[in-house]
Amino acid sequence: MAHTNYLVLAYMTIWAGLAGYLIWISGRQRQIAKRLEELASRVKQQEVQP
Amino acid sequence: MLKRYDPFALLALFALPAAAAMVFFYAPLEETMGLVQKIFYFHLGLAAAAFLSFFVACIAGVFYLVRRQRVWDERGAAAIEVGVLFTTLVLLTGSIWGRPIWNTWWTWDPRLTTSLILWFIFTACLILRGAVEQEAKRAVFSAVMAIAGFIDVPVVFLSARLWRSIHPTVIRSEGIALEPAMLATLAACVAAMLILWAALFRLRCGMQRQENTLLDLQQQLSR
Repeated sequence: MAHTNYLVLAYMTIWAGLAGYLIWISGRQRQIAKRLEELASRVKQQEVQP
Repeated sequence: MLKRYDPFALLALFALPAAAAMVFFYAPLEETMGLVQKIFYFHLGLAAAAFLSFFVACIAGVFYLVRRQRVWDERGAAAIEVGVLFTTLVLLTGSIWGRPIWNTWWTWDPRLTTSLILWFIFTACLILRGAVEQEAKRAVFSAVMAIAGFIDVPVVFLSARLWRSIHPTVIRSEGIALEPAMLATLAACVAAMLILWAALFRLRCGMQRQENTLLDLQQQLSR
């Protein structure tokens, strides 16, 4: 079939783009969770040493 | 990281493969373009989701300017980001489709040019959001840019009719120029992309809220 490579390339671009975005989002979510943990430990320290 | 209980994320997991299956196993082969025409279904679905995203960003911008509530800035930011992602994919898939059909990766056709302008406007908006540190200022700039940028959406939609364009138009004043099986496949792809858009938008809104809460807590602690 003619132009099959373009069809494959287009669908690979779509799925790779969406997957890349989801990976980036999950990385950012992990960063938020890490910052939240740091914050929680700082609050605990402040409660212990007022 | 899609939440397991998010109904849109769950629905997208079924809708996207179903739509892809319709594209490859149900939609008939287009006579002139052949197999490469199958790019069209997801290309248009992505475009529909991008337009919806910028519409939501515009509405969120208006609400933020009127009410000055943080939630509208969060929604606007999420819509802009997801909209830029979808527009990037529209431009890329369009370019890949254009190469075998028009024999070029890019041409300064009205539809393509106005779409690129739309991408530039909202990408600039994202860059601006990253550059301005003061929250209220950032939200106002972003809202104004989203409202102004949305003006380009109807221009993109009507560009192929208003000016001489080589870009095909499916939605015409006489109706939709597709045979029933192709139309059903297109509807499935548009629906799948809108569901995915809703899942991503909700996810980004939640993250934006969490980031703002974290910043507030950090500020309170540093006082």
